Amino acid sequence: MSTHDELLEAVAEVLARLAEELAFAEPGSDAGLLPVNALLMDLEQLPAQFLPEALREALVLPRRWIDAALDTTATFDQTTLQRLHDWHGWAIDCLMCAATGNTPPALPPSIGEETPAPQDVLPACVQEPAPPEPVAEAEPEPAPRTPAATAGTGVPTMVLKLPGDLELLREFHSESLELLRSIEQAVLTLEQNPGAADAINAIFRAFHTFKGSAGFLQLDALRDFAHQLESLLELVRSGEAPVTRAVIDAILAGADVLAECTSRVGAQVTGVEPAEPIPVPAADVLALVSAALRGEAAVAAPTAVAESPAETEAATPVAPSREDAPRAETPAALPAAAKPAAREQAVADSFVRLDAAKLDDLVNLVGELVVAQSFVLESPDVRGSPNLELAHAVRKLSRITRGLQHNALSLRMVPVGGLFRKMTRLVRDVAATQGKQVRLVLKGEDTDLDRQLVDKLGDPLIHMIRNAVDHGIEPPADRIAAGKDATGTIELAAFHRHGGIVVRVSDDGRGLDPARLIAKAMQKKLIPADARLDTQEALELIFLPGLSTAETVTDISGRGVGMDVVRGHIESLRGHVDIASTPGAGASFTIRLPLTLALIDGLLVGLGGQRFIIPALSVRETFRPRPGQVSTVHEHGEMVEVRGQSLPVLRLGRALQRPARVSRPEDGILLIVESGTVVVALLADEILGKQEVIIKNMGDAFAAQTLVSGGAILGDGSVGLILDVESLLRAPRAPASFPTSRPLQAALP
Amino acid sequence: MSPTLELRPGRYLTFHLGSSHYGVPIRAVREVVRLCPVTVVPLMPPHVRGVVNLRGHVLPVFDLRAKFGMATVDYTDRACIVFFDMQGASRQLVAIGTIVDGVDDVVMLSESQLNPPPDFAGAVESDYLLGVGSTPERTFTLLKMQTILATEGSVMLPSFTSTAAARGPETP
Repeated sequence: MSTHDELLEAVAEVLARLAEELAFAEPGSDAGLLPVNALLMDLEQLPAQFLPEALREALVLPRRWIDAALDTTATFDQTTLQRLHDWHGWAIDCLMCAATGNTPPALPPSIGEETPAPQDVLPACVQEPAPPEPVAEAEPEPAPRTPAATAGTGVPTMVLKLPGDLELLREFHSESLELLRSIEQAVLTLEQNPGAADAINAIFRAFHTFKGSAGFLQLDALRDFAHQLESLLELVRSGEAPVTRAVIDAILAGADVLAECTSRVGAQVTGVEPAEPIPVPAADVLALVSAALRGEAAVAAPTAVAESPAETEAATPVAPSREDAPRAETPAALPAAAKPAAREQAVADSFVRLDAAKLDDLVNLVGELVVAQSFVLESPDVRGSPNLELAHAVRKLSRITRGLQHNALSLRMVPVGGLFRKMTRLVRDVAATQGKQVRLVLKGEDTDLDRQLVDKLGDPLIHMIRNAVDHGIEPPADRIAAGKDATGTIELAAFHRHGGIVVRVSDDGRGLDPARLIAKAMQKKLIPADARLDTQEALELIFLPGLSTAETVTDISGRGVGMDVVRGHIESLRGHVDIASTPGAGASFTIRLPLTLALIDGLLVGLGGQRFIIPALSVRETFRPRPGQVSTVHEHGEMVEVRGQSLPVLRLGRALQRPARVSRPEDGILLIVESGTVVVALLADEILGKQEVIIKNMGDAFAAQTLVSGGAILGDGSVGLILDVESLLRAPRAPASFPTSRPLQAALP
Repeated sequence: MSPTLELRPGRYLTFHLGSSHYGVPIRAVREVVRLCPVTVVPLMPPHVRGVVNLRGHVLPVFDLRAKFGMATVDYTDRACIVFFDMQGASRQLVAIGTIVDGVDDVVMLSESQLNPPPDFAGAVESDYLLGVGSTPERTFTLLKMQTILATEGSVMLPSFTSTAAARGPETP
């Protein structure tokens, strides 16, 4: 059941993000089009069992609308937006029904009866002899065109819209380079392991993104080419075509063409080459694609490392004229396939150790740069200047600054996996000296943590893992006697929760015995002999200095130093450790860390002219209530009805005792926020946007302030307060009739 | 004891709230900036005004008038935020800003221009006071700013400055 819920939650999360994007989309604008496209792809790529059947089937609808939009104006129109909104509402309902086991509702007539009419939305496509069916998702693509058919009409070309699309094309260029790299990476994986679903998905996704972006920029020839490649991958993905040498060759050849087009786009954008039609030599590759699909049984899938690139080229009819440019573009890829070990070595050598303080300075300076830059950008003199060169330079400055900022921030974030993997060795060594069999399971290794947190988490983790092996996991004989697997399992997991980060060490060992902890503590006179403790209090004794639970002192742990030190460490990071234990079944230690320095996605909400940030992770959805949707229930205050669920309304202004501009709920916006099992509709004046922010510690002066977890520097240089949703929802709720003019002091202890 | 909590000759930053003049050892001061919009932090006592961005750091700003129990005023464009270095809980240096009506000067005070707090200052108040400094123009109450900012709630200072000023410098 819980897995089922988690799956639905994953879908719900994508839908929530979709809602956010839709909320900011406007007719006639392309804002949000590509994100919506990407989110749809997320949904499409979820394993089939994730999605309720009705929803899975209905996914073709938004896909058709978005593809149509990308194929034509590359902007949203009123009808599309309305349909997407309706579809989204229906999808949410559908999900709710799936969660409660009810029959999903029928598609609303406004979107359900719409007959697919792809032909009339396609642009007149002069250079393309056979435009592909944009609604191909419904059934597998027929085998692509034969070479003869394409060759007869010449090589299709595309024309860049310069200088109008300059900025977009630049982004397209850098994004494409990224995509090409990921294709290479995935092909390498695929060559080693033809069944690697991740790699197939990555390539599919890359081709799909190519298609979307090219369509967006009206590079129709490129879009259609990417579409054909995508269709090939679709067949591979669905298992209808096996991963053969021919398929890999087709992918590589396709990537080569994309690489060449990309480099030509880059050359024209930077002015190295004059603006002229760029040929998209698709025919040969499409021939390869056809061959791959026809001869799928004839060629066996490779099981080991690929042959050398030269052989690959020789064995396949790739047009010789294209060889140089793409090779130059992607020099590392194929040679590296032959020597992956050497490549890894090179990667390991390319790391640099540097002083963390310098890194912090860099991040702060870049933050200032961004502020100063936006000050220049927003200045009326610059905005109103007729000087196009200045405008151009300023835009360039702003793009570089953003890149720099992103880069600087990412320097400080590292995945927790590196730290976690160090523990594997530790577990093996400690288990070996103790004659135990222990398996370490790592989860959430790619959770990004501020590197300062990762550094400081090392010691506490080592202590806890040692303790788990030493005290938690029993010797194999004892485990078998207790009816358990002889091999014990320790799980080390990291995940985001409540806008914070949780690291959990759990084992399936003997667990902690509260009675023994109490006895030990009394024996060592750490607690009075007549102390009465409940189970949780007893477990907490383990954090007392000088308490050791091991019968024999080992040289690994059990000297009574450890857990008190661990707690000290964690608290110095302003986090805390929770302990849970089931005697005989194992113990778990849960470290909750604040985001002190971590980057989070925040929703910027306005309240009476002030801006607050709510971690987007805690926000399930946002909407403007209809008049009457919020009602006052006697003794319960205001409640809102959301899809049959009645949720309490918490007015942000009242919770924070700040003036709100909005008094009627229908004039403001409701954010459905959750913390653990508590779900509340938070009423704010407005949503101003969403932004990635770095949480800055506000210092000891606000240590008692639990509603605010930190501050963040906003784009204009002012400070936005980040609200702690957990405390906000746990705070006692003021009754609806409470006067908003309550004096400030009254709330103080 | 921190050198900024001892009465020593040296340079002092002087500022005023209304007609009262104060001085703090310059070594305690990290930075002075013109009053900028302060982000109000909800549910805090009135003397904790909020936070500002000082070159990428989010720092607390206290309202010194509220801290001293003085009437609030609309700050003019002479108002400043003076940031003081504080010893944080985890021993790293943090800064707290305080809003003052205006910063006057940096003055050099010699041994002869410094006096210990007057006797009539109570035991508690003298915790907040370094002493009294005087120049030919003016008399200043010299503050132990770190102690004041680390104290919760408001701090009542004896209003002897005007008395001292009336008496004039007692130095020979």
